[in-house]
Amino acid sequence: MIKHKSFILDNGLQVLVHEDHSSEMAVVNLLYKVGSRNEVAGKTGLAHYFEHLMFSGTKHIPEFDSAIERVGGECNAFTNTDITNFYITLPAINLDTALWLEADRMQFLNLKEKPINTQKQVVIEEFKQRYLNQPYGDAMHHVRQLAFTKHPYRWPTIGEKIEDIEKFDRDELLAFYEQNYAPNNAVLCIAGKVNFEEVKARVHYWFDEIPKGKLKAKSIITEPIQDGIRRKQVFSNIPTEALYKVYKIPGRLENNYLTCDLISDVLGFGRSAYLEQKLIKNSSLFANCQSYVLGNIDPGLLIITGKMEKGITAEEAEAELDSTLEIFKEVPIAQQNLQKIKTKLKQCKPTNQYPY
Amino acid sequence: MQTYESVSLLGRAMKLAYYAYLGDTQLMKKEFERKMAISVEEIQQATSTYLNQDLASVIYYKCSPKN
Repeated sequence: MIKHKSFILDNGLQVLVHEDHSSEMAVVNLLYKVGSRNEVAGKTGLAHYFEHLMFSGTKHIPEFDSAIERVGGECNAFTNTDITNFYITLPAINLDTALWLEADRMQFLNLKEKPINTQKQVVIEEFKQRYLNQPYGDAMHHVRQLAFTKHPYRWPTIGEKIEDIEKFDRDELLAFYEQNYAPNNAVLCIAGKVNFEEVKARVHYWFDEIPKGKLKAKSIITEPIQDGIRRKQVFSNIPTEALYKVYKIPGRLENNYLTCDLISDVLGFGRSAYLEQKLIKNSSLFANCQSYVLGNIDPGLLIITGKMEKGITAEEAEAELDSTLEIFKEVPIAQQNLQKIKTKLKQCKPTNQYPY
Repeated sequence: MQTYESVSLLGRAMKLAYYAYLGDTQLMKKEFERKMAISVEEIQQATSTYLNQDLASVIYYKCSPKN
């Protein structure tokens, strides 16, 4: 357990403080409860685009990054389907500057035409480079579109298509900011060489006056229960074929999610994983193979994916995967092997966060 | 747990914020303990429920036919 104390401001901001005096550093992590699951079709990629805009200055501070760098700090952020998370690492002695800057951009963001257009181009460029001009780069676009028919997990956080991002105008961005970037939609965590009472006083000082946001009730469309296998072929100029087979699993906090997570580890985590043994070492169709779950709030996916050896089709590989999984279902994993995997997980399993 | 995330200060701060968002920072420990206690039978059961063809979607990412 990570030791911490917490409190909530009247405006709803949830604050956690974790003291660690072993170094001179402090971290300010500010999580907003908004991600691509809060988007709607035709307006996708907005949460991630907005993450970029949060760095483009406020009415008081022309540039967020350089203000942090001036006090010896570093900052960055990521957006995934569920959250947008901003973080700053800096010398603990300068903590106050970080709190000031975060409080400042929570209410005074400068949404001018220039940064709106600049960041739009940056995001579109990122879309092209990482998802369109990269072999297999759009695979998750296809996977999500096939696996989800209604729920916003139907598109990746970068957005469904570039046109969606191109179309956003200033009014929509302002509305999104007011709707989501509010103290009652955020969690602030401060860690490092800090003193709880002092931090508490400074958080009150900087954040107390920020008004509560008028949050709309978040109604997210439930994905209908799937009633049969779905298949789609995608053609692209790639050296070898690839297979993506995904299965619907419960959401992060639901029953059986952790079991599905563990199943994906048994199948795909580490060198001695089941699929590595059966499909890579003892067969010649797969060049590689991975298995993992998307750790989403809403019901998500267990993904099994691999690239084929040259000349092997994805259909052939699927047939072999299917028969391997049939055996996996029939023959229980040995207690001893399960224990081995658990021991490895204790040492080094990263959590599922998908940075953009 | 000696993961990178729990070792690095930034990782710990992120994790705390994330679990507060999930609704309970105690979940961090509870989830891990729960996961470590999952039995062979539970795996077997969930495998047949979830690794089910009717719940599957498949993308065949194929080489474009040569001109």
